[in-house]
Amino acid sequence: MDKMNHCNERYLRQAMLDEFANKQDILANKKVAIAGLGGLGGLCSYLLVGAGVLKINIADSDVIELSNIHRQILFNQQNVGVSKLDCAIRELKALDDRVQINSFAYIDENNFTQFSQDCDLVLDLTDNIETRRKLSKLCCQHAIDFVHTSVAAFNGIMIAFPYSDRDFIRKYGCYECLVGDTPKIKPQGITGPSAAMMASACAQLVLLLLTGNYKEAGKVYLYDLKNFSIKQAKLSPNENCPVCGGFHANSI
Amino acid sequence: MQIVFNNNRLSIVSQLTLAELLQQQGIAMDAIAVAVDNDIVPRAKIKDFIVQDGMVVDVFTLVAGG
Repeated sequence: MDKMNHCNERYLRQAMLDEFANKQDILANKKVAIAGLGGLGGLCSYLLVGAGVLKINIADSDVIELSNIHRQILFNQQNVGVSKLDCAIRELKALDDRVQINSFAYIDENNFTQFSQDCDLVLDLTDNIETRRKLSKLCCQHAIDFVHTSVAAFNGIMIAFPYSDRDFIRKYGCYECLVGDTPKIKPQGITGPSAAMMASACAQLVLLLLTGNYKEAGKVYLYDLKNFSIKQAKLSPNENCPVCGGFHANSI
Repeated sequence: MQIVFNNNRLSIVSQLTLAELLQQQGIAMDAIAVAVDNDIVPRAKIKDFIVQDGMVVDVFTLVAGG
């Protein structure tokens, strides 16, 4: 089978959907930066590469622990003690050996430009609010579109922040407006399926965004993963926000 | 004055702020987001936001895990 037919067959069922017909070249040329390779980032990266997103940057500093593998499905018990980055790269390349991956052991102000270079989206799939606030701030400052997904216990949150659109920020604010003075959140319990549901929701949102099929603005999706309900609300800006407040100064 | 609070009808006094309403309902401000009529109220505005008659108030848990 030649390479073209092989690719057509790989995405056959996805391309049957109107939203994804003739979109494989677009997806193959998009680049996504994924922060965090835990319960969200591992499966999300796998679904994105599987769907044909073939340029990704990934970041995580952790090694795999036995307590991870009930929900972090890229990893198994043979991988305990191994770097999540190394293991994820191996699994993603096994899924599709065409994928181009740059890996980062950490993200900070000094390497953020490198981490987000040429990326269409940065995905915040990290595991604590402090890192999430820093990442959102960097994306807002650098006008890079940002997708937030988080999960703990039976609650999930998903939001797209297209920070490259300054009108969006004026109208809806940023992640900092939402979380404001929230104190450090203690780790909570979680099931594998809860993490997987939110990882899948995030991957779906990213695919819709990358293919121009997501038209909503400012929506917060609030998942109740125990009672299987999703509520929606609209973001509102805090005009005095320390991160995006400057963009509201001249708004009407 | 009547509002809907987390899907339940509730009678409240006038000029109550969201922060006071949450306190009355025994909800700590730690890790929550509040929506009024489906619009999120930024946390910085909760202490000054006056609840009006007929408003629908929903409290959500903020999570940060991954």
